[in-house]
Formats: sequence, C-alpha cells, structure tokens
Amino acid sequence: MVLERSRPSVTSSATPSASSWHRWVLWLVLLAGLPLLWSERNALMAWAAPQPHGVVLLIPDDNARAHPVTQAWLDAAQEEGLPLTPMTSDRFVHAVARRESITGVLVPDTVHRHASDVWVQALETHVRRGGHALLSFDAALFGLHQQGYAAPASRLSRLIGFRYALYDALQQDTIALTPVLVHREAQSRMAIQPGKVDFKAPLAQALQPLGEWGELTTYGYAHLMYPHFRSEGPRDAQVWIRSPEGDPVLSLRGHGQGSVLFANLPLGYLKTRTDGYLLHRLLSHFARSVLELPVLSAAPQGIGGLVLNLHVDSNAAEQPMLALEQAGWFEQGPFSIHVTAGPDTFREGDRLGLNMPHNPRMQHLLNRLQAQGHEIGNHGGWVHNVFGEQASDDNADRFVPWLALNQKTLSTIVGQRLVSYSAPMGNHPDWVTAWLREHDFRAYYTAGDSGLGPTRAYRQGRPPAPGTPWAFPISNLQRIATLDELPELGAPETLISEFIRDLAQHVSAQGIVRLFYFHPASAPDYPQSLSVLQQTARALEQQGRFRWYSMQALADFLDRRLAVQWQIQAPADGDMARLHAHSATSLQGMTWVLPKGKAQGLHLSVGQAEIVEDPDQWRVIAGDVQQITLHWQQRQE
Amino acid sequence: MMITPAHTTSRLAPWHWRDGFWGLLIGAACSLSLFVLQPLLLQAWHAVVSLWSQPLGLALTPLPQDAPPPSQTLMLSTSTVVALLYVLAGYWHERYRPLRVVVRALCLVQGSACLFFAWVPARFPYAVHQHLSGLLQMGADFLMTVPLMLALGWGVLHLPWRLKLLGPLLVVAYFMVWLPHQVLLHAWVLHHGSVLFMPVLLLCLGPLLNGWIFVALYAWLASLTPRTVNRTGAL
Repeated sequence: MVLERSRPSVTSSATPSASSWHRWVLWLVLLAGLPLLWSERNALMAWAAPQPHGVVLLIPDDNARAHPVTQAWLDAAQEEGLPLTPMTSDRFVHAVARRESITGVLVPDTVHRHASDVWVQALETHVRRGGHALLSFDAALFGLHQQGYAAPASRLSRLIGFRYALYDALQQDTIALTPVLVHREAQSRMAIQPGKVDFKAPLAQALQPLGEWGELTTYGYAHLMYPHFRSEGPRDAQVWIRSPEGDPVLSLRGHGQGSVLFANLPLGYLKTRTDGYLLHRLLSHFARSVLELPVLSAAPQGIGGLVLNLHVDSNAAEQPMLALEQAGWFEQGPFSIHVTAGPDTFREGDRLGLNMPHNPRMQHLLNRLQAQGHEIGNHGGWVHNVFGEQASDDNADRFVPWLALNQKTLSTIVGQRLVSYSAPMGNHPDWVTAWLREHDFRAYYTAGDSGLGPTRAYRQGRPPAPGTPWAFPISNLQRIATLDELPELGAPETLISEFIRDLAQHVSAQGIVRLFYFHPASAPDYPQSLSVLQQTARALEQQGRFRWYSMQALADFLDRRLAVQWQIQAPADGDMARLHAHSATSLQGMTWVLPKGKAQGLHLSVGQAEIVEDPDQWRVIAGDVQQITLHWQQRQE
Repeated sequence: MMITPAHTTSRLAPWHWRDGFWGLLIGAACSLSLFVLQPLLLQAWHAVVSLWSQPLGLALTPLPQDAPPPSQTLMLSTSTVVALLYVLAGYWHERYRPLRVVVRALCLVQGSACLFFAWVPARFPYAVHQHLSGLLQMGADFLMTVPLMLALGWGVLHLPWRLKLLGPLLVVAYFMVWLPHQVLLHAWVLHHGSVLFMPVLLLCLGPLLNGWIFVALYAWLASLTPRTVNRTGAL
C-alpha cells in the first residue's frame, strides 16, 4: 500500500503536471520582469510621483482640443499672457485623486457640457482643498452620455452658490437674453476699461442705489444682449455682473479653502462670434488678481499705450490734416494714418475724394508724415462710402480691384508696400480678410471685439487662418467709438474728452495697448478732445508710462511674442519659483509682470534682462537674448 | 417499501388541482396588491432612508455630494487587497470551492472597477443618487414578483391555505425591511468609501444578492412543506 501510494508522487515530481508548468512559467516571467522594473525605476517613480500643474483648461478628451471654442480660450489666454495648458477630464480626476498641485482651473463653455458625477465631485474636491476655478456657462450641465440636463439644477450649483440651469422648472425660459449690468466695484476690480460701462443708462438708473450698477455696452448696438441661465433661491455668492432681473451673470464665491469665479455666459462662444471682451478680461483678472501669477505683457517693455488710427477718407480731411501738422500735432506718435485714395467719396463721380494720384499737396504730406515715423495704411476701397455701404460677402469681384487700386496708389506715393488696413465705415466682409492675408498685411482695424487689444479675431465661429493679420478692435465709448459719432449720444464734447483722458490713463496703468480712431475731417469740431488726448499722452509719456504704437510695429512685436515659449515652475517647500522663457529669434522687449506682493528677491540665472520696480509690480524686461531664467521667492498664502 | 406512519397519512390528503389554483390565486393577489401599493411603498422606503441618513451623516440629494472620486491610496489598497484575495482563494481547501468562486467573482468585478478608475475615471457614467434610486426601484419591482414566484414554485403544492398565505407574507415582510437598509448600506459604503465600489455593489451586492436571499428563503419554505402521499398511501 505504501509503495503504491508513493509511486504517483515520484512520477509527478519527474514529469510536472500542466498546472505545475503554468506556475513555473509564471514565476519565470515574474523573475524576468524584475530587472526590467528595476531598470525603469526612475520612470516609474516619476510616473507615480505627484506632478505639479500650472493653469489648466479642462476639456472632456483630446478630441476637444481642435474645437474652435477650446482654441478661443487658449488664444485668449495667450494674448493675455497667461500660460494655459489643456487637461483632459480623466487626467484632472487623476490629479485630484493624487492631490497634485494645480495652479488654476478653467472650465470652458460649449465644449464641456458633458461631465460625469465623478468629474463634478473632483472639481468640488479640488476647490474645497484650496484650488481656484473659473467656470463658464454650460459647463457640466449634461450627464456623460445624456443629451439633457443631468439634474433639476446644475450639479455645480452648490459650488457656485446658487441654483441655475433649472430646465425642469423653466423649460423654454431656462436661458434668458438680456443686457447685463456691472457693479461699480467689479468694474474697477476687473479693470474694465472706460467707456464700456454706462452708469447713466436707463436700465442702470432703474436700480437702487443709484450709480452702483452700469450697463455693459458695445459699439453700434443699443443694448449688448447676453444669454445667461436664470437662477432661483438664495445666493451665497458675490455678484459682480447681473441681469436686470437680478440673475447673477458673473459671481465669485469662496468654497472651502478655494474660490470659484462663475461666468454665467458662453465666454468662448462669444469670442468666436466677435465678442471676446469678457473672456479676455476674466482671464486677465483670474491670472493677475486671483492667482497672482506672472503674465507676459502684450506691450513692449510692459508700457501701455494707444494706437491712434486716423481715417483720412475724403477731401474734407485735407485742410484739417495740414492744420494738425502745422499745430505740431504729428510731432507725437507714431500714428497709423489710413487713407482712401480715390477721387470720389459718397458716390462714384462726386469728386469729393482726395484723388491722391493727382493731389501733390496730400502726396507731400503723406511723405512728410512717413518720414516723421508715422505709418501710412490702406483705408479700403477707393470710393469710401460706396465701398462702406455696398461691399458684401457676395460682391468681392466688384470691390477687390478697388482695394488693389487703393493699395497700389498709396504704395507708389509713399514708396513702400502698405501693411495695415481699416475698413471704410467698418464694413469688413470675410473676403477682405482673405485679401489682406494674401497680400501680407500685418494688421487691420475692426469694429468687432470692441474694447480688446490686438487679437486674432474669430469670425462666424471659426478661428483665423494662419497668416491672418492682427485685428485691432476699436475702443468704444458706450455705443460710439469716435468724435464725429458723439451727436448720436446727444452728449457734450466733455464726455468724449473725459473718455479719451480716462482711456489713456487706463492703458498706462494697466500696461496694455488699445486703439482709438478718428476722422481728421472732424478735428476742427473737437479741438478740446484732441487737445486732451495730446496733453494726457505727453504727460504720461514724460513719466515713462505711455507710448504711441503703430499697428505694424505692434503686430511685429506680437508675432515675436507668439513665438515665445515660457513656463513657471511653482516652488516646492522652501524653494524659489522659477520662470524660464526662450525664443528661436529674440526675447528683446518681452516683459513679464509679477505682482509685487507675491514675489520678492528676483534674480536671473540665465540670460539678460532689466528688472524694473513699479509701485505695485515688477517688470522683467528681456534683453536681446534667446532665453532667460528668472527666480524669485514666492510669498506663501 | 417504507410504510408511512398512520398518524401522518391521516393528516395529508393527496394533491389536487385546487391546491395549485388557490396557491396561484393567493400569489397573484399578493403581487397585485404590491403593484398597486408600490408608490406608497417607495415613499415609505424613502422615509426610512431619510430617517437613517441623517444620523449616518449621509447627504442623499440629486446633487453629487460626498461621493468622492477614489484617492490614489484607496485605489492602491483596494487593488492590493483584490489581488491578494484572488491569489489566496486559490489556496483554500477544496471544500470551500463555492466560496472561492464567489470571492474570485467579487475580485474580478472589483478589479475591473480599479482598472477603469485607473484608466478613465472621469468617464464613469453613474451617479450615486441614480444608483440608490435605481436600487430602490429595482427592489420594489423585485418585491412585486416575490409572491408570484413563490406561488409558482411552492404555493402550488398541497399546503394548508394559512401557510400559503403566511409564507409569502413573511418573505415579503423580510424584503420590505431589508431592501431600504440595503440601500442605506450602499449609500454608507459610497459615502465613506468611494464610487470605486459602486460596480461591485450593484453587480454583486444588489439585485443578485437579493436573488440569492430569495432562493435561500424559498429553500427554507420548501423545507417546511409536509411530505405528500399518493393515493396508495406511499411516499
């Protein structure tokens, strides 16, 4: 019996069974894998270690990167000098789960409607732990695989501080379209520029206490209407912008140790439809005031200023131009002087144009102005008002030759190709942009995006094609933008004089560049305004806080700025924060602005730069080098 | 051949079609009553859940609250426990084979959840409130079928009518108490743990567990059934 029992065991050890083989193979694979794991230990450790992140734009997945609204957010951030990186939802949840540091979180409208509860909870957790977030409009309204609202009120309601997106209760009235009102304190905190908010509008006057709220305005429209979600119930949030009915349109709320800025507006969508002002403003505010980050200034040396764009479009401008020259007005500048060169103005054959080919006086004037450093540009289609009133999307064949003729005539007179353009009467069909791109223009004036600095303008939901010139939006004073439109407001000249002074002081204080334009033909009617402009600019210039910029020079600078790659490395405990920037060409004039209260002990370890101390900020102005590395001690919260 | 004791055979009559008819009728009536009363039942269950949720510190609203995404620590510890449990189950004695199958099935489900959350956590499409309300609704629907299922499998036997009525009532009463507390248990696990456990709760410890409990109760009822004799008096 014993022998019989022992035989099978001897046999089994000599010829292993199938399951024994499997185990042997498993152990061999594990043993073979150990050296591999050991050799890759550094990569594995790096993978497992928490990664710090800068400011991130949350998108549902990688496919959303190509969405025009995603691009609009990224472009706007770049133009505001904020380093922004897209981050997918999965990566974000991972980051929160691993307690990775994230400097700031932006959740865009339109592209992030769908979100899971896990994502919503991750966002709430991130903010509660001290994160800062800027959320927009319809973010996370729908469930992950749903085409409807995920809950009776937005799942972000608790985070934001009030219930909104109440589709079950309000159905078709879930979204309202109304003008919006800005609180006076918010105007100053967000650095909304002069002229954008009308505190004397009837809608604003209807609210108590008087003078606290003002209507947000834009050029050419009686009211600037914005879509926003209706809300209900108590509001545990600070409201900065509201609808006339009281719905919060922009609100701020502290949540746990963090904060949430909620824009109840489709910010990105609006930018793709020629209204990027609020997106830009909020991004700038979020970066500079909430996160207190260094930003890359959009102005050379960080010195703010104005682009003064003169539209010389009829023979009525000839005498005023000469008079301005005689008065020494062109000793300042450089200005961007755009001319319509044809012989007619209001209709073909009226002989009210400048007729530049046969107008030696104006030819000499343009040459003198160019010699002084002013930029001569193209003011459209040969016969100003005919182009302005009749050019449309489907008659490019008729008007392209006029653009070309105007370009050729003026280029011949001043002896160089013109590279900046302004549309007669602001009429700028899409084919004009294509024509400008084909002819290597660098900049054009636009009536859209009013209040913005130079931007890559989106049209009808589409981003600009590569090589498209920079768009220079006008600065609006309520519904108007220049001197001779003042009668439309029925206001005295002092209104626009004050606007001009405030605008110049604003761009100087903020270190930004904006465009103001006027028709020299109207100069004799507004002597006080032009004088204020001249004196304010001169005074600020003397303090080193203001510059005049031409469209071409600024476009060249902005192109170089786009090529700058830079990043901030947040400090670990006890370390210095670090900013590294490089460019394939040169960093000359690129300026990083750091909030003074947040940064101290600035010093360079690589490259060459001037560190300028302003009352409330540091300016680090790069020299003619390809890279710089800056270190500073960051004040901890 | 065994002879049935006289005192037993004298109590039992042979099966008749009326046994089946009355059994089915009682089961159908009970199910119908539960169908009619389902809204009230759900209301009562919600009240029970609300009653307990406060002392347990659970915020059960449609807004996603207090169901955090799994932390890295939780993910790692859960994955480790799952892997260890799966391997250890292989060393259990052969007589624990049924338990091993159950444990390994749980490990596979939880392991899949860990993989999902490690890979694409933001794409987890289910919400805690959906899970809980879905569980309550599924429980109510299940409860409605319990009397009918018992009638078909047990009530059609030759049994005293009191037993035919009492048996299903006891089973239904049990589930009426158990189901809302099962939901509370799920809520507690999701609140203090994470949505990482939602798949295993739903797939293994939700309707499936209720099905097993039903089978166990059915077996218990079947064990109470007096043995029946045929017309000849033989078993």
